[in-house]
Amino acid sequence: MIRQVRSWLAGLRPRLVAAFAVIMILGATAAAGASYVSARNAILKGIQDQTMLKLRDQIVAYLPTVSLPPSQATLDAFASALKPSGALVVYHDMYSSSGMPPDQVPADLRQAVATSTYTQFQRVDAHGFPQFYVGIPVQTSSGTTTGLEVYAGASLDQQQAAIDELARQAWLVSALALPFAVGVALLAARQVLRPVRALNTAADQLGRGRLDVRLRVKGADELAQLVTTFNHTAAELERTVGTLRAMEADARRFVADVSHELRTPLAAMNAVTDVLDEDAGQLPADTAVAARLVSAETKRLTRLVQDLIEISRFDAGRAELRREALDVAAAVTDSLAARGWEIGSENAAVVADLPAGITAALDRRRLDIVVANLVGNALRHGAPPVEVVLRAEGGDVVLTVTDHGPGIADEVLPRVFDRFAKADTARARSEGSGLGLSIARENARLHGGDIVAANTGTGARFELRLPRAAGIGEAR
Amino acid sequence: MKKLLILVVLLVVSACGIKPTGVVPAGPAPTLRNPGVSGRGADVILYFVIGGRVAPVSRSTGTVGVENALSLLLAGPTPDEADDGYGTDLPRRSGPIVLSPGSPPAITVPFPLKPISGAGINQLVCTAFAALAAQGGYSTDGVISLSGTDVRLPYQACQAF
Repeated sequence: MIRQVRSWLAGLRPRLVAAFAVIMILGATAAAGASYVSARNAILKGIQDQTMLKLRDQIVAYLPTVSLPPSQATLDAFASALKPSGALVVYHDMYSSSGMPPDQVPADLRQAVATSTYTQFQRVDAHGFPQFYVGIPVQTSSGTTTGLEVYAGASLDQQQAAIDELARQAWLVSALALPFAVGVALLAARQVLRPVRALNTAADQLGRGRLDVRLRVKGADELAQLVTTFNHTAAELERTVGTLRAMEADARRFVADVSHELRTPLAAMNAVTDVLDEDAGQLPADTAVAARLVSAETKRLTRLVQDLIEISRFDAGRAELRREALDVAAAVTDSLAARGWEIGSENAAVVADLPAGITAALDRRRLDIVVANLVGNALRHGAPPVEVVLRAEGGDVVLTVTDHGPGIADEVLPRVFDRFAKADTARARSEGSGLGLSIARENARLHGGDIVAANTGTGARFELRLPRAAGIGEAR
Repeated sequence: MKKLLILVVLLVVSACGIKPTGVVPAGPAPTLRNPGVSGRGADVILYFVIGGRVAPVSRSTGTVGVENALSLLLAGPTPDEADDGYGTDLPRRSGPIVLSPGSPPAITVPFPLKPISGAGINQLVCTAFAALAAQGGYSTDGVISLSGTDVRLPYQACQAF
């Protein structure tokens, strides 16, 4: 589960989703923020300008009735005339008795108004409540201060509430953009990932040998180009592999045909060499040696042709498996005896440990071929004693053939079952056909088993492992 | 990238709410044209009605007395002033206007006051105040007494609205 989540997170989809979400949030926040700021400034400017202009108009209207220096009564009358604004009228140290309290006016504002001939305003934060103060000095016609100042204040609570509402909406808009962004990202990811997944599946199938796999090309984007390229590659691969297979099949057929064609003349030659062998004793010495040599080589050639025919049957997939229930120990003993290999006796070349009672459904002829090849190989290339051990392991029968020779060279070991693999490179010719181990392994695999080769340190060991019953592991 | 993100967050957070400001200048102050201060002969100020408000109009006729100022007021706005949107809530009546100095000063007009609107009364009061202030000699304490042919009104103050 956690691994699934982690692999999902490592994919393209979350990256796309994250990128889209960030872009969307940034965009939405920027847009909402910009409109929020401009709306807030408009609200503040509106209330501030309205307050200032109204107060100024009232002052302008009232000023002609004022004469300097004003009395306390004049200030009070001025202030009461400005009552709608709740204004405080100041003349040096005199304050109108109505209007807001003098100490409520910010000191900075008082200072600025007292020394200038310009309307001044200031926004302050009074214990969390925003307040707006405006101070309007009265100037003389020569541009100097008169000492007469008017102050008014306004609470910005309503504006604060309106602006907070704006901010809340801006955040809400940004937040609402998130699921939308994720949705769009998932959609986009699907658009991209579906062809990628299809390509992955197809490439996997191609890797498993299904060379006829093709994908449908949709659209004309880069992914479609990739799919087209994949299809072309697969087609070219299929064509090439097809050609190679055809050539290989031709080659194998040629070997099979040649082998078959050689059989008939070889049969005739064998008949002749048999006669020559019988009559060798009556021939002159040189001629007898030649006759025996021809006879031996003819037999070798016959075995080689037989092996070639056998292996071409495997190649053509025409090898048949005829399973029958048999006692494996008895079958192996028969096989050894048929080759004339004595077992168990003192100084014997072959030492066998074949417990009776291990039965298996095997092809008797093929088991015989395998045993003969393994033991024959051990006797040829290794040194006696050759140990043949039979064991039952689970559902398998395991037959190990161990010799006490020099073992198999490391560089030969990986390809000891290859056709015509030479155990000894110095020796161009060996007595065997060079196909024996190949055929043995093909037979084992036909049973659903296998043969592995290893060095024991004191020789080579071949381990034949065959399932006791026909099973799912059976090859071909 | 991280710095940029922090900057953006700071910008967003700092842009919220209403921030206090320093003292910000906003336009020139209104000017007091008062002979008591400037020493020059000021214009006569008459109050007319514009857009529901009572607003001052200055005429360059030189300083005149309260009675003459009120007579000019009753004569109504000039055509130019009328073109600018000024009007009057007062009847076009002529007759003797009497100013009795005192505390407060009393003004008597030769027509009934009851039919006249609040704006009209304010025109009379503010014009009288402006004329009194222009003369400089009178010490006003913010109210005057106003009487018509029918009624004597309570003490009146100039309302700037």
